[in-house]
Amino acid sequence: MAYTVVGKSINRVDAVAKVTGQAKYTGDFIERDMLVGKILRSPYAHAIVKNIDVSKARALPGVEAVLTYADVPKIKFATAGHPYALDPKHRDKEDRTILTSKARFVGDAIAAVVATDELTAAEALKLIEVEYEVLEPLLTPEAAMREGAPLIHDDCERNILSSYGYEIGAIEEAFQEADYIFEDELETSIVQHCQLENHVSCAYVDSDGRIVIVTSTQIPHIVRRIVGQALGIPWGRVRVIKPCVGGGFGSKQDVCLEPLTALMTLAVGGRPVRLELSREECMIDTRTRHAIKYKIKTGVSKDGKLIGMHIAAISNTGAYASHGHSIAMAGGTKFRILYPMKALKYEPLTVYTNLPVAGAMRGYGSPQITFAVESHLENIARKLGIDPIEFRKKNLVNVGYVDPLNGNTVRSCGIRECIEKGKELIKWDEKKARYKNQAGTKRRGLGMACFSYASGTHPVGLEMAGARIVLNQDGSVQLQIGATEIGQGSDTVFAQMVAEVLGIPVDMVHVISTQDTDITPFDTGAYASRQTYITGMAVAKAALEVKEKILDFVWGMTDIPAHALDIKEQNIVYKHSGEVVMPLAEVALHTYYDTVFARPITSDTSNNARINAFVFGVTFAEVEVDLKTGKIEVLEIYNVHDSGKIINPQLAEGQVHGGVGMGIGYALAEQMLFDEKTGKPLNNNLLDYKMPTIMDIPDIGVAFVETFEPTSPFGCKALGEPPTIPVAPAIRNAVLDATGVAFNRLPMNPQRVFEKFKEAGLI
Amino acid sequence: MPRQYLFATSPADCLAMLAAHPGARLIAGGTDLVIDLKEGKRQIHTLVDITRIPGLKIIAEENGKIILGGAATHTQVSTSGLIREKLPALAAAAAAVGSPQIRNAGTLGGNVVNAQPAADTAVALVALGAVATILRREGERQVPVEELYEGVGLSKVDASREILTRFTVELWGEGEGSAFARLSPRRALSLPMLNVAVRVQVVEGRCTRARICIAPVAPQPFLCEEAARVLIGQEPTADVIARAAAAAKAAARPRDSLLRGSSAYRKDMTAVLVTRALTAAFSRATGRKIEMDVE
Ligand SMILES: Cc1cc2nc3c(=O)[nH]c(=O)nc-3n(C[C@H](O)[C@H](O)[C@H](O)COP(=O)(O)OP(=O)(O)OC[C@H]3O[C@@H](n4cnc5c(N)ncnc54)[C@H](O)[C@@H]3O)c2cc1C
Repeated sequence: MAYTVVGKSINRVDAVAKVTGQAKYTGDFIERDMLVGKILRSPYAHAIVKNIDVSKARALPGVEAVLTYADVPKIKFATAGHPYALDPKHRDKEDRTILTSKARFVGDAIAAVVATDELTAAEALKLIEVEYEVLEPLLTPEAAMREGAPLIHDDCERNILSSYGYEIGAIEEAFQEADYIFEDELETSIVQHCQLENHVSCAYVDSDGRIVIVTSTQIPHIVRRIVGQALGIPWGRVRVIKPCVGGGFGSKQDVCLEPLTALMTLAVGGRPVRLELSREECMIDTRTRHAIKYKIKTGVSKDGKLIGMHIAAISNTGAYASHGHSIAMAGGTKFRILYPMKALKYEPLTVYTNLPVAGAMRGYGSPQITFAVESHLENIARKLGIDPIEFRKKNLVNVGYVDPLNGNTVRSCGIRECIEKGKELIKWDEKKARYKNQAGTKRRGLGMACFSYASGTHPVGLEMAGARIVLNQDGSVQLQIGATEIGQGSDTVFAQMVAEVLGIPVDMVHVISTQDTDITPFDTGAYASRQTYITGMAVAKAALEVKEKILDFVWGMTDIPAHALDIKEQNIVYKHSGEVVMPLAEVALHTYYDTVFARPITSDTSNNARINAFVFGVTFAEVEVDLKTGKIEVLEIYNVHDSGKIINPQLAEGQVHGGVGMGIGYALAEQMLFDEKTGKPLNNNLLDYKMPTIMDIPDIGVAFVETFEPTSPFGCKALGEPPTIPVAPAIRNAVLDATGVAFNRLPMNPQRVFEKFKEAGLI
Repeated sequence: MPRQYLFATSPADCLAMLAAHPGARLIAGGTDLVIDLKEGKRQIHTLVDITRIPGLKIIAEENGKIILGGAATHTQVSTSGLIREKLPALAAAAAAVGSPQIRNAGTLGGNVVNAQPAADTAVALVALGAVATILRREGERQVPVEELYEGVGLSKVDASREILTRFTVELWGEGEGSAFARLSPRRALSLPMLNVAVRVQVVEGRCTRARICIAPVAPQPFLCEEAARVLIGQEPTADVIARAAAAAKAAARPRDSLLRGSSAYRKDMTAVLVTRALTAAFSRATGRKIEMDVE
């Protein structure tokens, strides 16, 4: 299809505002006499508060309120940013109160103060006296599941939050049919999002007595509901405003601060309060990525076909449920479309421990399982003596395949082309030959890994999106969406879509970037790589409706039937000849001011997308390994994606750059560390937590295989999370290629790599 | 939290300001001190800034010696043509510190007086045999850098009444070479898991002088005489280097740290980094490449 705006690298609609510092974030929301909130955190990983005395803190001049667990509603609520489930069985686990009398990790919120300024608030925290009864900290799933271990939450036996899995086909039969059986154990580490903007919320009570919360979130409409639930008040009494957001990666697909901020303003008679976490707090008391251990057993036929796979997973979800149960399931679902096989059994255990809460993070369980499966398949190929790429190709999915459990269908699939493109970009064959017989202390190798993912959550979750368009008096339009721009560029691609449908330039589409639950149409928010695909459907629908109304209006003005008309370059034209009938601006004026026929044109649309689209892609990596130190350097890396039609290539490329950077950190360096006895965090700051810097990331090669996804009005599919997913296993497979040593644990930091080389007798 | 921030215009002025304000301390780039203040580790009333004192950022060669001002920044040191040519170990160490912003602010004096065992330029200065000039109102003293340490984070320079004005490094002349090697989990903003600086001299094919400094394997930058001794009088071959590296490994006592690496790993790495640094230094000293295969 020939597009004029879609598919072009136009500038972000918010670029100038962000670069010049004019964009307003939650931290820029300043009310007169704004108070400051701060949280008192438990120094113990597992402890019961025996006694708490806040009298001294309360007496400190400048302290306006002190809250403890005794002052919060006795209501348990769930924080995961999911649409509400009408079916009680499908609701998220309600396992926390706003403040707690039982600390479940180091940093758990016990009490809070509201004061006139930061220093007073910090001083007040020191004056709160707490007496704890310290319990045994359970820092690993194994410890937590041990017979007789103390319970972190009373209603979860052996501290198991959930064990919901599935079996497709008959796994034991498949193993009998197989010629070979292979087994591996693999594990990943706890990492953190490290988004630029820390978590921050402000709240006050407005003149109608409603609570207004300005917050850095991915999910404003869900925040409204959860604050209502947590406080036990009608949801309509809460108004949530989301200004510009400095990144989230899933940590803001969760309701971390808002209920407490709301409670704080209520405690001071509705005066405005700001609650902002420091980086150190953000890294322990928002969300992390689940560390998951896998045991995989796979049956393969002589000719390299996968017959059956059994995956047992143990996921460390930390102190509260958040998204834990759902992540184990999502990860176990989205990967399986890539290599359909006769039988697949997935048995996950999601286990509470006394560590920070794990939740949604870019890829939502897929980076973990993809690391495990793609490493495992690489091991198998090598043992079978089959080229690892050929081995994968033998087992890849085809268009038309239907997932046997959820019914989602593969309607577009460019994975084979992605692989070919990646091979070519990295010069696979040439380098493979060159690196065949290496000696010396530095060894090079090539590796790759594939992934599959989905566009949104259907059929597990509701995929509702809303868009509203108003035709302005000058022929420009106003676009409102419920979907949230959090830095990924969604506002820009929506503007492109509207411009495309309406035949106007992008700068005539004014996107209202702020979501306000009082005003903005309903949308579940930024997660699951859903917005361009799912919200794009609502945006296209609204734009088409506006276009239809415009052409109908022109019909009334000119007697030319609407079906003979089109809009091109801000003009109403004859569809067949392109001849100009009149400028769109003239029509717009008439819609407002024609004394007889005036009827301003708007559309207010919701779309319940009961559909999904699979995306695919691959990372190719070349590494150099220093055998003497264990240091791995990524020399070249390429991500090739099938995300359908790319709406804005430059934004898409940026998305891939960020994702690959995150993947490199995951592969080589990042890991949250805790004292092995007490569970105290050791590196909850950006100096000791080794996120890669720009100096550590090589040039990143990006390519797209643009299939056309028929379920999307513009042929697009998901791209938000996917770039992170296959990076770590590709690097791991490259290290295996370079050294012959098969790593089964992330991150592959120098010490671990060195120790493993020693163990393998390489040095 | 400090209540006063003063700028000294000369070392004497600085000492007078320190004396006049009880609870005063001098500040250079502030990249260590400000963090300490924020964390409440020091109670300081007045800060005396020395970065505007003329001459305190000097980098020059005088009478066969390299002079480095106490407030010379890491950026200055790492980009100085003189230092890169004559003291490459120090240039490399300065280039490894933190990030561009930290290097623009952080100074050699601060790196030494902050007294962390693995401070990059301090390790290089120890290997180079730098001597510090320290002023106090009662007078001046000259102390080799390795003798300025009293314990982890404790310096014999008392920054509430003394100022370190310069470092002096004597040039050894013909046949000298130095090098720096560092292992860190990422390329910027990363304190070293291990760093090594070496300085050697080769006269008529034999090593006549050697200094090897390793960190963090002791409470202060560790000047490893056991390893240096192996080299003296020897031809700098791969085999000799390997023996020196083995001696260094045997002498090093790194701690176990979840953040910085295990003791065993860092002991192994001591041998690797000492080998690499010595190989580079001897190559510079002799103009010949040394085969590394015995590493
Ligand atoms: C993000 C970050 C990364 C860092 N990375 C590294 C790294 O990779 N490697 C590394 O070695 N260091 C690193 N540092 C530590 C720091 O930057 C260095 O130690 C720096 O050299 C300190 O110098 P300064 O001028 O900032 O010292 P200041 O903070 O000003 O002073 C430090 C101490 O020395 C005293 N002092 C300073 N100058 C003098 C003087 N002339 N005479 C007497 N006393 C003096 C002060 O009173 C104070 O006690 C890092 C710091 C940060 C914040």
